[in-house]
Amino acid sequence: MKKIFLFLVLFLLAFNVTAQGEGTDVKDDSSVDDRLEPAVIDSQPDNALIIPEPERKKVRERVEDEEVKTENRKKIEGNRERLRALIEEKIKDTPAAERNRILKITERVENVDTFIEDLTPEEAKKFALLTRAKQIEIARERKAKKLNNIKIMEVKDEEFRVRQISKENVKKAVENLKEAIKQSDKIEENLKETRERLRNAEKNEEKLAAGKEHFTNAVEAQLTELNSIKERIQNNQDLTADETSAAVERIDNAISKLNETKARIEAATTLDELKQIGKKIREYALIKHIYKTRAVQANICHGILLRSDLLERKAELALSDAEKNGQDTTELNSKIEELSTLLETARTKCAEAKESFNSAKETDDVEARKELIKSFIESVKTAHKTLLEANPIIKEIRTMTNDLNVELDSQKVDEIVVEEEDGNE
Amino acid sequence: MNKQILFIFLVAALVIVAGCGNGNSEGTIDQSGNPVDNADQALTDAQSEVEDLELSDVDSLDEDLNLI
Repeated sequence: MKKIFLFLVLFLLAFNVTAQGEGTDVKDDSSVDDRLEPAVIDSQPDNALIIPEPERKKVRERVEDEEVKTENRKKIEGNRERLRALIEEKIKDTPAAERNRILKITERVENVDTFIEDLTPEEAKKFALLTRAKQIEIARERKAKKLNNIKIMEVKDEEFRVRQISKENVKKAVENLKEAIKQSDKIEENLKETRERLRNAEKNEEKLAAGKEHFTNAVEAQLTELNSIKERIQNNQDLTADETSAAVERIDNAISKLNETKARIEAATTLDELKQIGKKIREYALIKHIYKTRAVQANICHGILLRSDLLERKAELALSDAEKNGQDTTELNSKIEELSTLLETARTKCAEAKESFNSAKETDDVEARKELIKSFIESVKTAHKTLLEANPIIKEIRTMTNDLNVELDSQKVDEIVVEEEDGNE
Repeated sequence: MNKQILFIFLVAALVIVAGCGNGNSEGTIDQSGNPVDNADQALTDAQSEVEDLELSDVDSLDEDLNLI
């Protein structure tokens, strides 16, 4: 019995040691010092006793270049120290890790200190919370006015939901819309047949009959999608209640007008009458596209973009932690910059999308509306594509932070900044 | 007496082992719910909807109106 007891104790001890060993393996990082190696290798060889003239010229140029670089570095260091003192004075309540992010942009923009000097404490705080690419843009253009459009938002929910909607409802609405699009595609197949009849009809009576059937099917296809788009808008966590009500009102109006159209098609007696009805169907189809695109744009340009912004900020804080630990952060720093630039592109595309959406909604000119919707769709697609490109970079950043033994996901970000033009604000 | 000790010991060992196992699976749950993976999932979810954004039905209606 004692032997069994002893065996169990040994087994548990061995289990504990293994479990701890696994935990520490992840944190092992022996490669940090290795990264400094290339700088040493790059020096002149000792056995170069007789140096030919061209080589000597190259060496001289290198030394001169190094001197210029050192001079610039000293200047940047001087500016950085002044900047550090300025931001400490202006935004002393902002955590040091957050406010010191401004110091990073001195490598890319000259005289950041004089720019910060002219900012009010409130503007300086907004500036400190901006993403790196936006800081560079504003400081480079020295456009403090741009900060007026920026609003500080408390991070309460890392998904940035503007309305609480259950995940099941969101999922159901998306699936129902997909199903509706499939049904609509089937109707579209029938439309090919009636379109062919319409094309081949020689007499007006034949055209009228084929046209009536054709437009009735077209109305059905529009109604099927519109009803699902309404559900998709109602169950969209990235749209405010006010915007949802306004959108639903317009969709309901389109649904009711399209239902009326069915009766008008039935009663039509001339081709001209039928053509006018066809134009109306096209108008309501455009309304459908405005809100179908808006639902997707809200998810991409509010929910996903803000989540990516938040991750960029978390990465900056992780970078700051790694720097404090004295680790080589060159690669991480450059990845964050890459991410920041992509997110800025996505943000620009989202702003363009928003502008096209607002104009498309307001214009009465049907042709202009179609063009605006095309731009709207294009901007949303580019924003999505850009965020897809940013995604692997975020994953690389996570791998890098893991290798540096610093946390990424659990970094605490209390406030982020958003541009006020965003309809969700 | 020895049997009682052994029984208590076995129960304790099971609790510890189960606790360790649970700890590992919690890691997996957190992993799937972290901001990086959430953003990734949201982008993937949006993919098919983005692909569906096009005005082909409006272009077809333009064509239809020309046939009348």
